[in-house]
Amino acid sequence: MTACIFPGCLVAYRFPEYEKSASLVLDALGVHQVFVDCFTCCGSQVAESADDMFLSALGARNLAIAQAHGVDNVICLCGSCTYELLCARERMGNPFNLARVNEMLKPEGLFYDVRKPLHVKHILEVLDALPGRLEELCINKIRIGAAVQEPCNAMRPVHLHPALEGRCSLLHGITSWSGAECVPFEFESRCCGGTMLAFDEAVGMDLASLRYHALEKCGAQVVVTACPNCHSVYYVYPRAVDKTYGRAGSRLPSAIFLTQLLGLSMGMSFSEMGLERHMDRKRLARLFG
Amino acid sequence: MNWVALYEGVMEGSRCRECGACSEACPIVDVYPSRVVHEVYVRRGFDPWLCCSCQRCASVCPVGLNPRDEMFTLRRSLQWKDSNAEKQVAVHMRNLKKRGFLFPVGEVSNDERLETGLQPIACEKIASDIKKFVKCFDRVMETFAVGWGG
Repeated sequence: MTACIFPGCLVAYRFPEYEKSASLVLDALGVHQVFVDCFTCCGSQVAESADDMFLSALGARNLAIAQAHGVDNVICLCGSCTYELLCARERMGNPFNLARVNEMLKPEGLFYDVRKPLHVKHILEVLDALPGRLEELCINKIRIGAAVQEPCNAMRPVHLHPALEGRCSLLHGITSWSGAECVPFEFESRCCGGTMLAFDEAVGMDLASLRYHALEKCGAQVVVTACPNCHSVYYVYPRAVDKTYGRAGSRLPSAIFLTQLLGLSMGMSFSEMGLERHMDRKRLARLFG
Repeated sequence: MNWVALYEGVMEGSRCRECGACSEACPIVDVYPSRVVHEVYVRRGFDPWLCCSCQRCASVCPVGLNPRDEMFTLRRSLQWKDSNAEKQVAVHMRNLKKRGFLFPVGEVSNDERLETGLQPIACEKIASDIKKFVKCFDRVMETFAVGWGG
């Protein structure tokens, strides 16, 4: 298996620590990775709202770039990227679509070959498939209370994730391998609402506010995410929502990426996990000792 | 606009039993209690921009409909031209076709990557390649101006 991480634009723009911690955790698990420096964004729901033809062509182009780097597994860090790349791969199963896209790719010397196996998975699915190895590596059990926010498109729609049919949570189980105790959080599987922030910020903030109230009451010390959209809701927006709703500096649990938590549990350092860049770094340093 | 997709949506909607499972599953309904998700198939006045794309509606539908996909088909229809959301999308699309990213990934992002211990992204190459790709995309789509096959 030769894998590459598909960062997507939000990770590339705002959360390099997610990519770094994911890469280190995958390294520790023995997943061979190559670095691809020329992926574009997946297009996400923004392009899907405007031009689904361009969206699929762009997705297929990213898949062709992965193949040109000798990759057979594309590991996404974002739920939306997972969904859009899987949709593009599905559409390229139609020979007419494929021929058109390969015609578009010709001037760049790219070619998407559907005969070559190319898996597209969210990192949760990759980690979920390696439970024994991961549990064995998580030597420092971190005894904290954690709320989790499942990334929607990492598991849905079911027809794109046949291997996950019948599963209602991935993040819950993987988080607990670190030693953290998952506390009940009302919105765990009810979407973070993050993509609404791109189309209608007011509605996005209303959704976020509901989640913040529930988080404040649930008794968690951290909120674990596995998608940059969810992370934006719990890391970037709390201050903006406080301002909008006139709330005085709420103290939400600190948002942390799953791979940062796993890395710490594997014995990697606070700085290796990029946590010294975290806005709540003092609080987290106390929490993780 | 893809008229075939819209027509297919109307036909598909006729299978809807109006059981309300999609509305119950929809997170938007938490803040808009009067919203009825399956009304996307009826269309008149339905706002397709109120969707966080979580796919929960599709996962609970007893007859296998996907209201979320229908909302995106509706977003792409002419009816929503010049709405605020559509204008915002247009700005993002210009960025995407010019730079390869929706967000301004550039030198600052690469400085942060280096600080974090990651290799830089080839932003200039991406910007130059995506422009070529957009030209080819337009040329090919002009030649074969039909939608994607299923």
